[in-house]
Amino acid sequence: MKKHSYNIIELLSQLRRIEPREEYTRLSKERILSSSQEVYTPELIASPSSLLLRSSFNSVSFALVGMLLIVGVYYATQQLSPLFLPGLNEKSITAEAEMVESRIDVQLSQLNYFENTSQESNAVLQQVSENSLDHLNTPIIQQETSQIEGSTDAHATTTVIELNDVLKALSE
Amino acid sequence: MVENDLQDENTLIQKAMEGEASAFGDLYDHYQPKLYRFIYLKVSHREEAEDLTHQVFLKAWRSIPQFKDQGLPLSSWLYRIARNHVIDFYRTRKSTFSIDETPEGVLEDEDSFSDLDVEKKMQLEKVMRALKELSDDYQSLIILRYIEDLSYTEIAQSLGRKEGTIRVLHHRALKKLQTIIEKETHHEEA
Repeated sequence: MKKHSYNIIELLSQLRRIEPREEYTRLSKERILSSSQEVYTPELIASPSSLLLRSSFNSVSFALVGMLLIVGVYYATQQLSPLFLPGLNEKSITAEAEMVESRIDVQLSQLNYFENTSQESNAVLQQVSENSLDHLNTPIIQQETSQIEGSTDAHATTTVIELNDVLKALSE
Repeated sequence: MVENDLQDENTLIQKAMEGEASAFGDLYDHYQPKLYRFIYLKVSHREEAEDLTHQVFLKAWRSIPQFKDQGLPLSSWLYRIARNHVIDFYRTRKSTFSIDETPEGVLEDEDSFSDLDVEKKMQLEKVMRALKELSDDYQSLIILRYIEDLSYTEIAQSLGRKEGTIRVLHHRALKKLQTIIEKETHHEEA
């Protein structure tokens, strides 16, 4: 067991020979050291005057940027809106509204017309449904009736006389 | 070149924290081979070990301004970074990279072993394979103790454990490694 242990430890120590390639080491080191590293120097952090100067500079910068933004927005709304935002022009909006209103008026008058027409039509239809023959011409009907009845009587008498003559002829 | 002089290392660390690249370069020269070896023995693949080592030192370079907050020696801090990178490597590439196999003849391409005979190389490869079968803690412990020659205190700091725990684990790790090697030897002889 001891010899075995010794062998293993001896073998393990041999593995110290493992080394990286020189070319790889050179390239790796070069790339790492050329990369950036953020460094906070103790002097910069500890200096109150430098802190004050930095904060003042930042405040002025923000104020200037803010003022520029305000001026820019003001200019844009006052000067540029008629050109680039036609929908905000008051006169055109008024004209458009009046046009829409007149269209509405036309449509309303059309609706009134249709309503009246439909009322008259309903009245006519109602009259038709309630009064079945009244509207027919009564005198004409009577005249035609009498004509039909008269022609019927005359025709019947002629027929009887003709039958009597035939019967008389046969008996002789 | 950095000697094992605590004062020199502290001076270099301070300069590196202030952004002096040449100071970090000296630290790189001293620790890079150790970190590479540590990683290589865990992944058994040269290109992957190179890539991971590069990432470790890149992170160290960028993080060294905050190094003093860690409360660790530089070597322990670097080994912690390396261990985390290896764990992440296993987690993200497990599906495509076999972690259980040490390629046959992995030491054939290593110039450092050219003077050794074939039998010796095979024994070393057997030890490397056995190392891979250990848990991460046992693996790290064996490498740091017997290959990198770190003290129990340094190992405890590198692994984030108490020194007493490391002493106990150290014996268990070595015993486990022996068992694995014996099993493989018997298997070969059978």
